[in-house]
Amino acid sequence: MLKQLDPRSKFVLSGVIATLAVIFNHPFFLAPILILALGLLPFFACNLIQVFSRMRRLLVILGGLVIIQAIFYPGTTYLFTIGEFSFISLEGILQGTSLVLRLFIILCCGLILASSPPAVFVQGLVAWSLPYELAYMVSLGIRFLPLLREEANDVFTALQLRGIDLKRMPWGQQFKIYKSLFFPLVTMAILRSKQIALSMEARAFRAYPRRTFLHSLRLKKMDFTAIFLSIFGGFTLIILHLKGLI
Amino acid sequence: MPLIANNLFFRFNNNQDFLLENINLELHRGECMALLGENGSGKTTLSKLLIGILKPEKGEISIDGEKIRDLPLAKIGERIGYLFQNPNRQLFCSSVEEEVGFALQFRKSERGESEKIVSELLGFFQLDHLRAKFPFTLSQGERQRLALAAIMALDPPFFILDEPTTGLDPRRKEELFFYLQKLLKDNRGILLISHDHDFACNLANQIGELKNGKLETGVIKC
Repeated sequence: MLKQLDPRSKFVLSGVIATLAVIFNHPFFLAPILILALGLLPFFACNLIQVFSRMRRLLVILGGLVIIQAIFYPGTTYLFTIGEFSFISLEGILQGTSLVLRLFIILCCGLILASSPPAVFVQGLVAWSLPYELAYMVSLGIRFLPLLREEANDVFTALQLRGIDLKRMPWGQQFKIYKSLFFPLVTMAILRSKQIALSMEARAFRAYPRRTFLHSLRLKKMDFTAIFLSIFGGFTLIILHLKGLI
Repeated sequence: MPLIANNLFFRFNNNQDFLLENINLELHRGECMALLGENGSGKTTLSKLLIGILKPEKGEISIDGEKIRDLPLAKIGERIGYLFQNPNRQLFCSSVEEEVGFALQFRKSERGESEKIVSELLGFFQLDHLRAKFPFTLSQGERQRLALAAIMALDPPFFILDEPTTGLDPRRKEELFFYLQKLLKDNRGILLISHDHDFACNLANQIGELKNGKLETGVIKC
């Protein structure tokens, strides 16, 4: 199972995939990269059905992005022309589709990285000479996002249970409620982070300039293979692309 | 009309065993049912099913003859006051006063009526002097009382209270006890989830215990 890979191998793999997503600009190239990234996810113990159901919520925003690009991106081949005005260019649609595909690819890279437990993730970053304070903060930030989301969900549930039906409320009133929730939610997050900082310091976080880890990371054969294949595959595709062969 | 749960089955994941199996309960107005059980036995999950936050895989929950699954949360909230296990999760306003009066400001009421209700509740829960404070600067016990006051503002006929005595000192616990007794006399129904055996025994007409996913009544003796 690729989930067991060293976090450094995962960094390289997701880094190569993300780089390819940035270098290639056409949906015809980005689509296979996305398929490859999605194909890899089950090997990192990611539940594809769950991933798709979460992505579904983003579809409206992403659809909107494609439409905006299609309308405003300057192109040469327009699909609609009314009098002197031409709109919805083919280039715009392609640009919008590329943007969406790129976002999905980067999301997949994030999921690959998230398949390592936070402690191992930190260790991987530290092994690459990133100060452990910084590495720990990054991993903590990532891991706390779902918790914050859960907290916000609970607040919205509590809000509805107090007889507030947001769906049936006029926009103005809805906005007023969301605005009033913003301040307490942010304050809650700050208070929580202060508590975490305190409890970390109480457990000797940053007491010494260096730290040790319970388990040490060691690159195995599988990691070297994954790193080699990622770099070799990535470079080959980039060189072929630069030479105009693909 | 009572709050009824019929043959409820629930699990978080289709690959897991049922966390709750064949749960039946009936709570009438003026009655208190206490729900006891070990940590992780499913008490809070059952309460979330009853309030409509979670949906059962099988079975039905109804209140006043209406199915919970057909009602939006806002409508359920008008009929069932729900106290979260962690009061921090249900406080979201920037002052204590606003917190208690939040639900009232969206209802059509006579001038001054909301203020009167808020003042009464703040007085009753001894939060009057904290009126202008930000809820998150209060102590755990004060936050618990505030969360209770906030759900009581809507005056629902049923209450589901998930560990209401957590963080309360003995005096405040006693006061809560008398307040809940008063609610029962006012013909409100209460489902009390608690680890506090004595508190539950003194208040409840019936005691249920969740064990291995099943609700057993008449097992725990007071």
